[in-house]
Amino acid sequence: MRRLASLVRQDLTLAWRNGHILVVLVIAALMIALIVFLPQEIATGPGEYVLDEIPGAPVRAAVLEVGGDASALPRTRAEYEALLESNPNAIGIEIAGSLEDPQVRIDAQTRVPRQTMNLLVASVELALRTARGEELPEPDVEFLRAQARVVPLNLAGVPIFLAFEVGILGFLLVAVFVFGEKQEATIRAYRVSPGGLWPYIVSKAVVFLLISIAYGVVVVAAGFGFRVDWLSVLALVVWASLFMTIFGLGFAAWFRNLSHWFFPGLAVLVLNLLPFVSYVYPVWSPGWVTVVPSYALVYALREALFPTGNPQLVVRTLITGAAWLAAAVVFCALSVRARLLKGA
Amino acid sequence: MIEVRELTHDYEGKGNPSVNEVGFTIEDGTIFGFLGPSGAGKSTTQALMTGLLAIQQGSVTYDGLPLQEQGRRFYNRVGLSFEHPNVFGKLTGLENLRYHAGLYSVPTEDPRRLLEMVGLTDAAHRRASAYSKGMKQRLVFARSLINRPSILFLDEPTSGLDPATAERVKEIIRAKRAEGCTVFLTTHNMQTADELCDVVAFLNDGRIVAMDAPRELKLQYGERSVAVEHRTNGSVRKEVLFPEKSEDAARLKALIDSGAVETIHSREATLEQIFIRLTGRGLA
Repeated sequence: MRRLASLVRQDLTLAWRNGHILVVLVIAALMIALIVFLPQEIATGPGEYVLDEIPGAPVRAAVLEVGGDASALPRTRAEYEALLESNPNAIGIEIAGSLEDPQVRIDAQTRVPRQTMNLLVASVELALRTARGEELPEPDVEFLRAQARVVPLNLAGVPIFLAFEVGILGFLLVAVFVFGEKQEATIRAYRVSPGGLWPYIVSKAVVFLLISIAYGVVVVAAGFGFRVDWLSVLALVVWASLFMTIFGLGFAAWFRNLSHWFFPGLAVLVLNLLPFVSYVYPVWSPGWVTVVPSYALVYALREALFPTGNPQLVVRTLITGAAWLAAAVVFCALSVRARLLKGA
Repeated sequence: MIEVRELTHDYEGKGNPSVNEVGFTIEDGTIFGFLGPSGAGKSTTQALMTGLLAIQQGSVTYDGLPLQEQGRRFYNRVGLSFEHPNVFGKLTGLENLRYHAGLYSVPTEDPRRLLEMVGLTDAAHRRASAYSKGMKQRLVFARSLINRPSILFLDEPTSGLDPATAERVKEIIRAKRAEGCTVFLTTHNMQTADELCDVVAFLNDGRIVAMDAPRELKLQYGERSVAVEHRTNGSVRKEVLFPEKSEDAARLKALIDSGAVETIHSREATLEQIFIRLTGRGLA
């Protein structure tokens, strides 16, 4: 323990003097600024405008009666066209003729997915039937689990900040550490000490774990206060930090210096970031991306921060993560022994 | 006791070994000098003896136990000073020693005392990156003593040091020997070796070409001579004569008999001269 304590103390001192901790502090400050200063939602105005040219405007009246947004219901064609011109992404819906024989025209200014178009047609159909005074059957809706609350815009990025920043910090900074030790040849002095393999690996992992936990606690507390499932959040942050630091240490062991490491290391970081694209655009989730450990991590963090009644996702991610971590430990131990601490 | 047997190491595996069937024995409590020019294989031999390089052929045993079977605890009793100072530049001198002390599971020296011994007390709280090369060299030397080693490997310990500091380092090495420490000294500085070593081995192109106590080597390979200053025709002249040659012996006798001799000094060969004689090359 004395040996490990000495290594951790030294690595923490070096992390501070090399500016690593300062970098983490700056990133955390930026994340907190995003959380504090981004609005909870951005009002972009209605996405659809409806011009009801049926005499008496019965559809407009029906929509207003059920609480519709009046700003999306222009009274005149001139007003309607002005609104569409001012909002190029909005969709226009013109209803003419009569309630019994309506003529509906949808003006899409940009390409609209087929599914969206179908929803619009169904909505217009519903509005017309409501305006005709038809009795509409209430559909039976069964919620499989509690409805998730709407995620505020300023907090929507927190799972990403945690999943990817913690990983990048561990992977990148541990490489900087290793190359610093190679450059100064202090690793040679370590090799002829009784230090050994495991204290070397564990000390690096502990240092970046402490930094990651501090980063995670500060960012989550800034966004959620202390009313959050800390156990799940911290377990996931701990796993992410350990996995990426230990894998990063083993990976860096195979390269001579930071220049030699740069492109392969960048490739790993980009691969690790691809699940971010899937998270933002869920329609892009090819099977091979879902295998990247950070994919499950980001969704598990979202579940921990914005529960939807699926806690198994967190548990499943941690169990799978333990297997990934075990593989990373074996890879790291073999790599460090072969490339950094080789000898008799 | 350290025993090295037929140690051979070929970096490229192309039949051009850097160390070729090197063998020697070092008695406990002695200073063994390993001498040779740059590229002779000195540092490779030391790296093989300390486990920094894996042994390809031959053996290294400490008290009868092969190096490969010593385990990591072996390093609790070994100190190693590198030729090229390798310290954490972002840590102070004191922090470097404290960190290293924390790696050992045996009682260690007080880092402040070691810094004082090598004359770095005033620089204890300065970052090592701000040290001169000589100061870093001293810090590495101090670090090699932190675990009170019983076996000390020193690679060019006085390189880059001013004469006064080099003398201080030599005193410390002598003191370690007096405590029973075995010292393996790698150097190309023959004067340092002559002053410190009980036994020296000359290494050339990976092979040991001679090995004995410095005095024995001088007696075996050196040519004894006498430097004579005499006054002849009102001016002082100096001659170097080799008494083992009959004509020089006669000349020396004639000078002494003439009463013209003002000074006379016996001279012995230096280790460097012997090395040149044995290998045909210098030590640079």
